[in-house]
Amino acid sequence: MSAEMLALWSALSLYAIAGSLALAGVARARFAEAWVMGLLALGLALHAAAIGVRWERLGHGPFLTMYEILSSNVWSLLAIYLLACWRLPVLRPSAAIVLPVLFVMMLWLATQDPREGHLPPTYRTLLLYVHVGFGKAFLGAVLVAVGLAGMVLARLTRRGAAWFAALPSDQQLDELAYRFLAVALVCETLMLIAGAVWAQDAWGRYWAWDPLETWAFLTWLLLAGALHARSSFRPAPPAGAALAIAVFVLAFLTFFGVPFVTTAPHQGAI
Amino acid sequence: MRIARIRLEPAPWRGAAAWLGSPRLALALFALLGVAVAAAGRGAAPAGGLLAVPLALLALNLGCAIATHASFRQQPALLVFHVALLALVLLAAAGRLTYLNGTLEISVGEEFSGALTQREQGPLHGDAIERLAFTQLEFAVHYQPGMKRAQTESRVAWRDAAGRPREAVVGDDAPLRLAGYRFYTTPNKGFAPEFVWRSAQGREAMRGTVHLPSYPAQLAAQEQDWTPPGATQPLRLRLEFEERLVDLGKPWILRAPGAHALAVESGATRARLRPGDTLALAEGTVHYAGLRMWMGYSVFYDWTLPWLLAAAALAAGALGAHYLGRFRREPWRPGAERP
Ligand code: HEM
Repeated sequence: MSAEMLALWSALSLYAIAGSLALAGVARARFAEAWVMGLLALGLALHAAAIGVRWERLGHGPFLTMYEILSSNVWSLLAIYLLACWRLPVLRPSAAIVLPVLFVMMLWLATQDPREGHLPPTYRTLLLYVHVGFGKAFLGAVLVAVGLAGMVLARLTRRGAAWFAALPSDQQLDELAYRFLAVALVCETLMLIAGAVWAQDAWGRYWAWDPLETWAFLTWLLLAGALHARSSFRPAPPAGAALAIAVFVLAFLTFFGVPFVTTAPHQGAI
Repeated sequence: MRIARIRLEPAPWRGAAAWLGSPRLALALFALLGVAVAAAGRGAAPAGGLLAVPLALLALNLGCAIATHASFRQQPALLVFHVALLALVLLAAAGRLTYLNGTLEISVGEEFSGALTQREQGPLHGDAIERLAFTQLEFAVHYQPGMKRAQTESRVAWRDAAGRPREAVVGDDAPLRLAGYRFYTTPNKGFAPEFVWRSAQGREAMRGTVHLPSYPAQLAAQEQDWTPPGATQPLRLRLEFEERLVDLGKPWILRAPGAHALAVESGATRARLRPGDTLALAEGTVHYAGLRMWMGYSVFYDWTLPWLLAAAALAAGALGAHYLGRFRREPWRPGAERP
């Protein structure tokens, strides 16, 4: 096994252990915070090494193949989540919700072909990093909101209420989720702007409603709509939570579903 | 007395504007726009037509909201954000009225003179493109092993506004920019046999190129029918390589082959021409001058681009400022004391 694969699989194993601990922790109402966060941090370091080794070997970042995109997104989502948990301890029990979501991506990653892809001629630009960077920040912020939303919704059940009993009120969790959605909207707006500038350079048009552009715009519209709905209707926390989850689902399908079902446009290569 | 009382009541248009500018209507229009975008994405109809109505309604809604909502006056950053959104919609509409999108093919050594092979334009697009000119010089297209296209370097020459000769290498994401028009190289390019045609009626000789199908996309089909000017009988042209141009195992650069022949078929006449050969036909003589290359470009014109970018950047900045101001006033940690 190559050093890259060894580091990646070690990282994935640590994530799996951390996730199991988090789930067992909330179920027994004795959440081993330090262990979960520590294992995640260690996993992230190993995962960063795997990505770094590959970057060094291929001479380009993890932006091309589904394997690279999934791997770098698992990394960035966890990194953003961990950073948020570090600053806001109230988020930590949501690991029991966030990590299982990421396991879906990790399982998918495990099935992907790790061979190298072809770097299109239009990828030598700073815009790539701006576009991808804001995209990752956007998805990370929505993921944190999903963790909070998941706890609010779980508390609708008796068991969930027991699991997350020690947390602040639903209103307070909802307000925090709303802030992360607001951050997400700003990041997504910047991602779309950088993407449009890049598309103008790379394909001679800034926006053409290809499937990825269509879905990305729908995600932006839903997120803006969700924030509007909050200020016009003041929905109860569970309804706000459902909106946050809907945004994540649409964003997830846009990021990972659309490139999976259509290969022709928005890929730049050929 | 009565007059004074009437004056105190809100003007009727304000009531209508408040209704038209209501955030609830905005949400309904968001949903309508979402449906239209999804339909456009599925190719149900051209995006411009489908999106025009929801976007026009949203612009009206947004304009009325900006005019009537008190919350905007208390939150200037939010106001700037929404004004920038309105500007974006209006600019996009202006862009659709005046844009041009087209394609062209041009042989090495030829001058572009406004002729496009395909064009699509807004109803208010002028004819400035007909006055543009540039000359195609040599180009190189680099390939990675396994037929993967890498950099394109296309040399072009033109005269700037002051009449000075200019030259540049363009390609991929670096277009040639002339008077607001952007010319981008495309993956479409290939070989162009050059002929001198002299018709049997003894009219003036004509020199020109015939573009064979795109290479290497149509690697196995380097054939083209061509009817010389004024003739009736088409010629079937086929390029025959006598050297290996492409080595799939190594990086290579697309160029015109040195050793080659041009097979020509016209009725019962068959010939293999090499550069410098002349073939006599019933309707005239065709002289094969040699093999050149042609490059395919797409051309794009939209004067709103820098304004769109400015409006979008302003919107993003104002939204960020709005939230920054709002969240700074309240603590992030639930339960924590205010700073
Ligand atoms: C098209 C008609 C629109 C109308 C009538 C409208 C109206 C409003 C109003 C009145 C507010 C203030 C809400 C409050 O302070 O409680 C607001 C806030 C906001 N609007 Fe719009 N807006 C429109 C379009 C948009 C669009 C297209 C976006 C897209 C991103 C957007 C994003 C926002 C955001 C993010 C806020 C801040 C909400 C918050 O502070 O939580 N608006 N809008």
